[in-house]
Amino acid sequence: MLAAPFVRMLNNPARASDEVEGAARLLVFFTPNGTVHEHWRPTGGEDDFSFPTGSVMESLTPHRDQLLVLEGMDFCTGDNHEGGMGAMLTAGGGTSIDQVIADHIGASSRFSSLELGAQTSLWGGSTQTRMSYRSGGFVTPDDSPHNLFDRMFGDVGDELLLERRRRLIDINRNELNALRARLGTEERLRMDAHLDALDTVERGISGGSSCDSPIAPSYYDVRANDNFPTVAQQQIDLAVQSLACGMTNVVSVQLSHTVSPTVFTWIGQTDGHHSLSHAGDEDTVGVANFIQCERWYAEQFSYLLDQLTAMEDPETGGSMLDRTLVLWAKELGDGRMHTCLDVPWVLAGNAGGFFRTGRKVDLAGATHDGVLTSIAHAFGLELSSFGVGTSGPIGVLR
Amino acid sequence: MTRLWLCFLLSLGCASKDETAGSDSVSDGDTSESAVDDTGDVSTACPEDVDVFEAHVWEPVLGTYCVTCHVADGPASGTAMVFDPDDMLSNLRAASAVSDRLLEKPAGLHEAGHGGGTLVLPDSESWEALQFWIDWTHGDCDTPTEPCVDEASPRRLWRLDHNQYQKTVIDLLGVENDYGTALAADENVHGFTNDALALVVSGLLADQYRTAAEDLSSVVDVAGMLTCTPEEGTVTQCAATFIEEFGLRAFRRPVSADELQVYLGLWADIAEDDGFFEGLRWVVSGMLQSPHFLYRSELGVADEDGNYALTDWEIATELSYLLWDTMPDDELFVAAAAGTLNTPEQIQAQVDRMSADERSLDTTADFVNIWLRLNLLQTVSRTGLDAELESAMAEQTYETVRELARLESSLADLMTGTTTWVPDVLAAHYGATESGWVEQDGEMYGGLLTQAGVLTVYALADGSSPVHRGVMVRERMLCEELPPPPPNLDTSPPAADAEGTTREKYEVHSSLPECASCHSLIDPIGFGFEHFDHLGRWRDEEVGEPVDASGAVDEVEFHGVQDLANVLMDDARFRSCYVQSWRRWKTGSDSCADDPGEVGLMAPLLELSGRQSFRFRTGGVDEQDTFAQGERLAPEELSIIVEEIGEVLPGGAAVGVEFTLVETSTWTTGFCMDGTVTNTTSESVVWEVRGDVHGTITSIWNAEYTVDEDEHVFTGVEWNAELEAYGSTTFGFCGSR
Repeated sequence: MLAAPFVRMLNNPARASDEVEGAARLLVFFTPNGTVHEHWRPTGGEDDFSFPTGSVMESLTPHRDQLLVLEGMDFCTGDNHEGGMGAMLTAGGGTSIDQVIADHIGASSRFSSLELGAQTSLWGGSTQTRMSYRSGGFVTPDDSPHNLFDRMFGDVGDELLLERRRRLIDINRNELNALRARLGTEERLRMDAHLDALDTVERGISGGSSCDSPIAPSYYDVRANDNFPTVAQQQIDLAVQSLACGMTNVVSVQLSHTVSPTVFTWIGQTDGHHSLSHAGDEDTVGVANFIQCERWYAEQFSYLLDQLTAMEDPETGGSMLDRTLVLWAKELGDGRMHTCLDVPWVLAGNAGGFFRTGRKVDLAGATHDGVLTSIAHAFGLELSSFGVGTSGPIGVLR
Repeated sequence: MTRLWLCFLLSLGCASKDETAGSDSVSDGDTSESAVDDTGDVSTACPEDVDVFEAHVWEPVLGTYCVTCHVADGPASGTAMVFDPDDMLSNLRAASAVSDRLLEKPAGLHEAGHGGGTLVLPDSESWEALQFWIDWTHGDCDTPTEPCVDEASPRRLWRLDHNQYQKTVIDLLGVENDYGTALAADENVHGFTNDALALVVSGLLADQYRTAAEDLSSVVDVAGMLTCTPEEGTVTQCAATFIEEFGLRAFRRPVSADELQVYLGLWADIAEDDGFFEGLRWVVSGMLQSPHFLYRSELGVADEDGNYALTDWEIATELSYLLWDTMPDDELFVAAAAGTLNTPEQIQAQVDRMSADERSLDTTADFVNIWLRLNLLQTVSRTGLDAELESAMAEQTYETVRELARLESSLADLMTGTTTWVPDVLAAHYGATESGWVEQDGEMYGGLLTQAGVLTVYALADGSSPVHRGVMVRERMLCEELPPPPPNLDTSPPAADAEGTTREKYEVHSSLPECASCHSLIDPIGFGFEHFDHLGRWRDEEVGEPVDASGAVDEVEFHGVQDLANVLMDDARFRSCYVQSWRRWKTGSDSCADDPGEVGLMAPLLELSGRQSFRFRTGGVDEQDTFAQGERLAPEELSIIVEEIGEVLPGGAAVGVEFTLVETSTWTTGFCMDGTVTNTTSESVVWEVRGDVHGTITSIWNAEYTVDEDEHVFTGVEWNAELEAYGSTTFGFCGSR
């Protein structure tokens, strides 16, 4: 890991709006199965909060000044595992915030967005396992660091190879268009999706990288439970590199999915994450085990912030984190209750001065569509509302 | 879509539970509900189940047609049957009271005639519905089920699923590989990941196809596939021959002249720089990414009846993916080329040949794995489970199913048979001395549900799970999908370190009413598995207590898994679910099945090719149907039939009226909808609903409509134009698109 070769100003004061440049990059980080609030909540006031010893977010203490911890935020729609997972980034609309931002800022990127996962697909694609949506359909994450590495760094710069690959894509495009003309409406939609997919492939193989290629991840079984930590860390590394190397400005890292069965064997656990998430308050052993898992997830988030902090923003020379908006999203509040109330989200990075970080903010029941609207505003996309919600942007975040 | 379906099934489950409760109250001595049937025997009446009555009798007939006159202020108010649309129980009783003439009167068969004339024809839906209620009042408490129709699906392109892709690239190229296992996961629909509408090619998947095509084409033995020698003067001809021969196998039909030119041009440009074989490798790569390879064509050729008959080439492909999940073999290609693969006899001859092949046995074993989601075994984490044991467990099920298929066994043999394959590692796991083909005792072990793989997939990481096992039986084996727990309910199970057996800990579910409504459908089944731990090992005791493996499937009690298997075999839901699951998997669309009675292990697979829906397709959504004026519909007008059902204009002052619209039926050329108008105020109102109906209304009941510019204006008929305080009325209409 590189040490940050610059001095950063911590605890940015609020800037006047004409100084705000806004966010340049979005990174969505997901971990499943809600929380147990009493072990999650920071102590202290809005500006002087801290993470108690043993609590979930203790490892985030070094990043405290870059965080905006959201308390009291309810989902505007959706309840339960599946409802929460579906509504988390969409607020009930058909397109998730990452894809909305990708449409807004991703047109010139090699990848308009990248979706990275760790064991998101063992149960197939479903409302349990997907968080990213376009036009009501799933956007499937790439669960293989090795495959992702090839997409990002493989064969970059071989012009003859690129020309031949494009020729094949053109042939396949023509074939699809000819077939399309023979089909009814419903089938045409699927041919259109395939044509879009070819456009995505072509952009992906055509673009370059501003970085030297790092060492490729080795082959191993990315679906094996005990390899979960390796997959997670490699995906975080690749997500940060995709931003730092100018390949995309919108990336998501989804660790498992709601109702996650992951068994955290590497920290001595023997029960699945979802089972542990249901431990009632009287089951102190079960709750303690769940909190150990949640602390491990927080450490991965902390590692992600470490990487972003250490990387230099090629345009400003500052830290990558400064103009990146990072959202650690969850799909449930208290997992035992299956409700999407007081859902524990954390924002990190001040989005180019757009958000005032170093605070924990009580949203007092404000709904998450408002937070998603605010995120859109941070990218200069001035939506009046998001999804089926009607909140509009949330002033207290700024 | 899926979630709506879940809720629907829950309501069915709960309805049957309510029936049980009702029956209990009858047997508790309430003799007022007994009836005397035609033979003079006293039979127990079915319960006064308002939901059943409303769904099967009121909505289809009484509340749709009869209610027009048979209401307090209607022309038939003086008859013995007068309804109150707001009081379903009183309607139920009104209909039951006249059950002796409920059908005769409207059918015009009663000696006293029917004031409204003859309205119900023999064997019509209305006839069936009224007959159902008559039977119900005479103690026949089976609710009617929709008969399952052999209906052709629309023309479509059906993308290969990942299992098919894997087998196909191996057979096509002769290169062992595992690219298919790493492809981006497809959507899970009813537990299957090959629903034709859900199989799309995303950017990620297209890129994975590209990578696989490039890698595989670089290692394939192109020279070995050549049937010609590229010599001076014949080089281009030889390349063309390769493209035609490989193309036929890749596209599963002859390449067209245009396609030949395209791929020959690709070959020529690359061959010029990098040689003959490199050119062909790019042809292979291109064809492996082509939609003609990635999708199975089910487009057919239009016949005189407006159907589309699949071509011989398409039938060869259908047969081969049906039975083998891979591309056609040479014999199928030869038959297709000869045009001898389209009559039912020709198809049956191929099925007879193919079903005897090892690949059909693989397909049957794959089905059991996919149906019960046993492939999860590869990724679950269980204390004491390592890769070796996991693969031994998978091997047990796979080999046992294959052998049963080879022996042309029955479903009962799968569920209760005692001969099974036990690899050495698994024998050691059981502490048994015997391995290989083993005859089990039929008391502890025997049948699919006692196999270690099934019991390990459906378990917690470190303990048995009555919930997972009960849900598996309910959802996968009875095809009754369950909803998730309602929100705001504390779902904490008992603490892992709490005292007592697993059963005792879970019995708390059924003690809490808010949990019991669903868990009574789940846990009593799952308790039957309690003799097996999380790795499928038998236990007589748990925490020093003897295991209690008594359970129940709804009202049918059983003891232990052996007994459960027998209960399931006697349950029509299980037998039809087995067939339905095969159909869902093998047709890539939602499907139904009637109870087959006896069922062979492979029978549901083998009979599919004999169905009308195997050889024919209907037109696509917008292809065949037009407005009466002959005007073609724009696609966007098809998906939503009614939009902007606008303001409801009450007759009085500012009062509240609610309106909901439900599509009750939809098909390619038409639709039916029900609209419900509810007055939410304490004043009576005259109502009107305006909206834009995309289509032509062909029939309407309980309301009238006029067309005002582009809007349809619905108003009530004489008896429901004015809604009393808090009153509600439902009208319906059908139309063509």
